[in-house]
Amino acid sequence: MPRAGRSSVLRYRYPAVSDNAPDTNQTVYIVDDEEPVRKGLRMLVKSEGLNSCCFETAQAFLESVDTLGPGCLLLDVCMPDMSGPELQDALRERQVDLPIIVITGHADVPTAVRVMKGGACDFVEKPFDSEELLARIHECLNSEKRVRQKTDLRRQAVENMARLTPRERQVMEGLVAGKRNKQIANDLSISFRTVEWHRASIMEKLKASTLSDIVRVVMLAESD
Amino acid sequence: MATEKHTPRLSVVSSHNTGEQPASTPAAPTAGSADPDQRSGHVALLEVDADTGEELAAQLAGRISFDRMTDTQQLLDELEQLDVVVLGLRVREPVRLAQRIKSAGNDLPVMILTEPERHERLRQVLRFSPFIGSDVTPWPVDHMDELANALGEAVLRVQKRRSYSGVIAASQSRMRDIHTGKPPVSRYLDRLLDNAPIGVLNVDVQGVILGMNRYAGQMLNITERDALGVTLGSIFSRTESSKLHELVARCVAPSKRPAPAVVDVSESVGSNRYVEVVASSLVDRTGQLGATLILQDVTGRVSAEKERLEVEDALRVSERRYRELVQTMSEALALTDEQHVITYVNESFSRIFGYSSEEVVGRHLLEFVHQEDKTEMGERMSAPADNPIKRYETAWVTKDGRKIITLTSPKRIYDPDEGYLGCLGIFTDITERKQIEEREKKHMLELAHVSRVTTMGELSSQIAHELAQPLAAIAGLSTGCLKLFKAGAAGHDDIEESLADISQQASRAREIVIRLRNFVRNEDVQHSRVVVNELIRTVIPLIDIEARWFSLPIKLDLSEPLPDITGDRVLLEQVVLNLVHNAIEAMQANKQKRRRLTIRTTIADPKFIRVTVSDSGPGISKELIAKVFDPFFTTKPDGMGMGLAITRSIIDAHGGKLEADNNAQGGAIFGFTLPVSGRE
Repeated sequence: MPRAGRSSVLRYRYPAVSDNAPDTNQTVYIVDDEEPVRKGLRMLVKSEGLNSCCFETAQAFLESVDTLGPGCLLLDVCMPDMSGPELQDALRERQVDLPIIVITGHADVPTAVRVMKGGACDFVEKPFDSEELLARIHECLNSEKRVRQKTDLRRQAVENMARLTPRERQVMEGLVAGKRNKQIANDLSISFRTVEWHRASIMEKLKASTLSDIVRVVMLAESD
Repeated sequence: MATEKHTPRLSVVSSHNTGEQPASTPAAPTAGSADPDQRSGHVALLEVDADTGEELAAQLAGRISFDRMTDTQQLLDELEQLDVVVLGLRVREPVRLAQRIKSAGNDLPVMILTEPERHERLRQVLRFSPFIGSDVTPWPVDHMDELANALGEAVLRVQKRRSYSGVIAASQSRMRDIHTGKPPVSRYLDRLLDNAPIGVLNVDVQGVILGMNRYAGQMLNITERDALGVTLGSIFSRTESSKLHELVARCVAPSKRPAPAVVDVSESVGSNRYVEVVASSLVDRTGQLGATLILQDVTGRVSAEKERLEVEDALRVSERRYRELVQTMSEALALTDEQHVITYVNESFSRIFGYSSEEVVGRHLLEFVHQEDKTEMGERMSAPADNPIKRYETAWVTKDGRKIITLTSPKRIYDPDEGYLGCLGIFTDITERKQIEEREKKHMLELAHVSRVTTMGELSSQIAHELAQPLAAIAGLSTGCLKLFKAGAAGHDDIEESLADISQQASRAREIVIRLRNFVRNEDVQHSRVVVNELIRTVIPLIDIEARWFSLPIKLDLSEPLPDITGDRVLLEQVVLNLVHNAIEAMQANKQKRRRLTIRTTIADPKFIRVTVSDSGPGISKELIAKVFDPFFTTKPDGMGMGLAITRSIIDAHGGKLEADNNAQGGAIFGFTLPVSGRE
């Protein structure tokens, strides 16, 4: 069992930030009422080897948002019927945490404040610099990927931790607090051997190979 | 005839006024036969009263027969059967009659009855009468008792004369025969004189009237009887008679030829009458000097002359008045001949143009026209006459080189025969007015420009957005394409489509920029033919930038076809934009659910089109409706308050009217009218 656990250690590491290789799971969603702008953005995204999906109105996007995979949203502010910020609000209500890059032709301070408060991860003015926009898209996608991975790791950590028995959990807390086995045995009034036994069980359950792995899993599980 | 002529006959024909029957007719043969030795005489009585006739007949019964003549004509007709003629007191022109009797060729003795007081005068006159031969005797009526004897003697005398001069008698009887065919020359002359429309008056050197013809009597309103023997002084007024006296004196004097004189006889005639008198000297049988005055009625001529003088006087006065008026009037006035060479200018012309009268007269009018108007003026000068007279604005150059502008209404002048004489031009100096107008126009334009720039400033974020859209599209498409191409992943279709899109977006951006630049450009007013519907459609994209920004659809309700108007495109675009901009702002403030903005064009009446912009905003309160066009009136926190004021001045300058009102369905409605282009 420890062997198997050792092989899975890498999965606890964050992916490198410089990793620009397109993630085929990710899609760039584009919401803009102007067709030429949509076309331009789509071409730009396509040239980076990214998937794209265009919506003419905010409503159309909102209607199909539940079926969409991971990625990011390029959102225009000024649109008839439902504006960009209004869509942001609606998405937040539905707890869709798709990262959003707001693209606007008219960046006044109130709009910027509203958009950022609404949780947009970036705010780009039209006309944009294509390379810069692409960099931001990548950044956004990466961060999404990272967040997604982090969320997965944490979920796994929490799941793994849930498998620990109460005694194992006590032992683990002692380990995380930096106590030696003997000291833990003393604290819990159990034998040194028993602590070692529990420790091996913890390592296996948390798929950890070293003490640091255990600490990391605990930290992951306890972070928000 | 011959026997009958010498048959003694005594007949007294009573005059018509007495109505008496010829009583003595039966007595005549008795008298004739009673004394065959003594040949009885035949006496004609004209206008002798019946008593006198009867008395004479009684006295000379058997010796002389009396015949009362009904009128002068009968007398003259029966002259050949007569021996003596007695002319009564009632004969108006006894001397002339005597003359005619004499000139008829019969040397008959003529007795002229006369009032005693006139007897001497008449006698005097008869002495000088040129046409009367001997044996014309004036007979005062107070010596009537001797008349019978005198008549008897006269009869004897004439019979004796006849018997002595058989030859003469024979010739006379021959002449009598001729006479029956046509009147003898002398008689003809006499008649001519009597009937001629000229007056003849014979006077002696003292101015005593010796004879006159009928026309003279008529002219002077005087009978021969009254006139004969009296001096000119008693007929004519003092001044006129002295004039006549002088005339007579001059004509009597040798070697002096008197000029005709015009004599005013109004006093004696009683109405305005003028007579021209020509005098020629006269010498009678006795060698006495006198003059024949030929009178001619020149009343017509004189009064015409007088009238002419009066009219001339009036003309002179009126001309002087006009000349003064022309000289002192504030407008410049110039007269030219038919070649447009100046012939006269007034003082104001000199004052306004700076040239003295001497400097301009004789020069061509065109020399003073400013370069910019020379061609047009030249064309106008050579064009056919205008009807009706138009007013022209013309630029001129003064002596000191200034440019002035006048309002001129040239009038062609013709002589009474429709001959073209030249032109009369009155020039009102409107330089100052023009300058003020120009300044005001410039101010209006500047303000309008400022307002346009301001509007564009207010719309800058919307405009930036409008430009950002195509730029964003271009940026995305071009970068994307480039990357794909570099990576060797670009499909042919991708690139073609993208390039087409890029080019389309670039021209879209270009159009926005051009429209903006045209709109904000500061230019002079350029009037051209404008199709209003088209203008609205071209300004819509500019308006739409803002409308879309606020998600506000604009409805167009344009009636087609609409007559063209004449105006400045940019200014009119500004008007539409201003009104729409206001409407959008009004609705924005209201945050209404149902927003409507309608631009409507209609034909207001045959001469005007009407454009309205109606919104569904809060409308305008009654107190404010009158104020909305006032400068610096605004309801916006950051408004200048010039938008509508400028809009209105633009519409005013186009001859239209801008009005504000509230919509029946709520909201405001701004409408303006524009005059339809005239057919030119």
